[in-house]
Amino acid sequence: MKISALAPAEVARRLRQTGIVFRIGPVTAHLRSPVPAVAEGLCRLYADYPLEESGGFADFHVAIGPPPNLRRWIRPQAVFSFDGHTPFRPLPLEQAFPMFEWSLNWCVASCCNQYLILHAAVVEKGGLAAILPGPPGAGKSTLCAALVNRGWRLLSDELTLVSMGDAGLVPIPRPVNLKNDSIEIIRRFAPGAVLGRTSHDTQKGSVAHMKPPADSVERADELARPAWVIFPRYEKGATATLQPRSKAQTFIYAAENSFNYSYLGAQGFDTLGRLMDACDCYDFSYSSLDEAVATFDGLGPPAETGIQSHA
Amino acid sequence: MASDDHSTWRVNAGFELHWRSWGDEYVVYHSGSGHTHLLNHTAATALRILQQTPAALPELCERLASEAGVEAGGDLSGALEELLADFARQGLIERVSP
Amino acid sequence: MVSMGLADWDLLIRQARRANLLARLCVLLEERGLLDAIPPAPRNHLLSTRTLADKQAQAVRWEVDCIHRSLAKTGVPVIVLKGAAYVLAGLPFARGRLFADVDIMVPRERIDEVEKALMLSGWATTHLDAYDQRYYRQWMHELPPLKHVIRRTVLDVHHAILPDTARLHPDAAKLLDAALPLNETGDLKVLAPTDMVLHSATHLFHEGEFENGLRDIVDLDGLLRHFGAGADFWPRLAERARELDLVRPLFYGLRYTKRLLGTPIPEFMPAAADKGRPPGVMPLLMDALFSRALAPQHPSCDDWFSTTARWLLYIRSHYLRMPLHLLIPHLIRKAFRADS
Repeated sequence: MKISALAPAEVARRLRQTGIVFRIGPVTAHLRSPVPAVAEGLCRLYADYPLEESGGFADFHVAIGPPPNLRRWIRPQAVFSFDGHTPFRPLPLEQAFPMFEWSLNWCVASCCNQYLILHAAVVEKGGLAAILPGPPGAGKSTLCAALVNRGWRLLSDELTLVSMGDAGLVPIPRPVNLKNDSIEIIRRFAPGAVLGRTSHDTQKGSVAHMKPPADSVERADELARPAWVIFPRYEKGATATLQPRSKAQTFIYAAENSFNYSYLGAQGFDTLGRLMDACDCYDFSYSSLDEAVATFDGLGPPAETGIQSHA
Repeated sequence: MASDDHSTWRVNAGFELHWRSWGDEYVVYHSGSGHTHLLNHTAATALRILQQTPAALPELCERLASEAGVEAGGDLSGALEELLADFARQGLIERVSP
Repeated sequence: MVSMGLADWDLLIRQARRANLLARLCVLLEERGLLDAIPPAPRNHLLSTRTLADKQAQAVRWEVDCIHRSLAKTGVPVIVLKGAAYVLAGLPFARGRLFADVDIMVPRERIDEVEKALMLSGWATTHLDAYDQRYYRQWMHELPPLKHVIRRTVLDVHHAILPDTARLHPDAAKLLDAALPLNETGDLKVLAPTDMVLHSATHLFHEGEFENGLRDIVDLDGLLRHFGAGADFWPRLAERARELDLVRPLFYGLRYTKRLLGTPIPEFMPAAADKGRPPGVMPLLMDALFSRALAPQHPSCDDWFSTTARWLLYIRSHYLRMPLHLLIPHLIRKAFRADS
């Protein structure tokens, strides 16, 4: 059964009371919240996610609710709690839904060391996956949203889960986090895309989440093979251009921007090494999303590299 | 760190180095510190030489010239001195106690 | 445990995470060959935290290696304490233990020399406030915590295991004399087995850090089970507690490890430690306080008295460490700062 099988009022009621347990690729979340915006976001953006029986095992027991003090009477706020533990400061109530999204990222990033977790978007077509790292603002979420509206499968817009050992990519498809101008850009680029309510004045500016394609959610158990690591950069007026980049430097960038590379020791080194062996690495500058999608559609399979490793 | 003395250097005992390379760039993981370092061909060769046998600066210069095709000269010695100090700061190598 | 349902696993994983014992649980299951029989979802959480514990053990070894290299020139013997000591001494129960800082002890008369050498190698003091500096240097048994400017690791340098102002006075020189070497040069050491046990009990029952209360009592249980198997360990432990003026922490340590974890303790021991029994109804009151403070700080384990119990124990630990006239201004200051 999917979340869409429940009427919105039922979703809100369950969230207020026992909570809702649902599966996102390899993890199960148990969410409780009395906040209407959270119920609304769940109905709109998580409609295609499978419900799990409550009373089983959930990876993350999370709640978004009012903070346990009098502040709510002064200025309504929401606080995230992970099993009774509140790692972050409360935020204005208006940001309750984005807070849920960020908090769930945090749960995955801090509790899933069975994967090497890179800070990058990842999409797949024809069995081959493109990993899109890059600093905030470089446009990886925008490009990711554009690609998944043109037939690429969403694995994640934020967390690339790499299987330890064989370096296969594990999907954890979630709503795509769009910021500021990208919200309008994606509305124009893909008028059919479903977007949640925009939260203004967050730490990241205005934020809205885009519903992932139903097909990406349904195929969340299907692993993908890494083929390219591409650093996107939006550049006004630029023609879409791929520029090869050094694998060793890409390795170091990915390691430094990983959530858990430093915990994984020699195994993490080996896994990231295999990932780099398997991938062609590029810098990519673009200004038009249509051109960018065409460039990605034209990517050839990665060159077989001479794999060298030494004990 | 005074290295005008002729200390012999060796790779820090009791820890492992894991290597990977693409073209003439290398990444090396140190099992003690848990750090991963990016090295060019010269630096990687210097570290590998020290991994095989402890060496002092003049000897290291000679072997680098013959094995890595780096031209020996005043510049090389100065650059290597800095490199060794850097390796030592990162805990990759240590002075062999006399 | 293998017959547990998913709902039981759900609660166990949550409680163990809060008590910082998830990785330890993983190791225990692994050692008994039970890990593969556990459903994959809870197993992933066990293994994930185990990875973190392995990383911490590696980081602690490296940190001690760096400290040792920084102090090599001074020739000062360094005693590694607590979690780092358990890892370096290869004690079996240290596998899967989570911890943050490294603690060392050096002879009091050489502490200035040690501090200078550490500062030359990049450790800097963290408590820059003049009050804190004075508080530590005048009253405490350690330097203000040092932080390495590049690695961001925290190091506590002790010269004793309790402050001078404490009501118990274990002689640090006796601890140093009995310490056992970890390396060939003999300048890196750990406390002798009896002293390691007594230090662990003292730390747990006199320092007021109950966030890791259950983990600390698991440590004490691990130490007692490991060393308790040795010939005449127990009589020596009783004897040593008297020598070091630590019979009271030993009394509590034995009482609660046995009660909570069923630690095997020879029958003559409680009598030997009974001199440490506090007078009157104190033991009963302490039972009520400790049974709550030592439970994981998870909502499913809390009752109405839990928070109060932890607070009372915090006050008590300060009372044990400092005379009252000192205690009051310090707590007021702490409370004041927590708000600001």
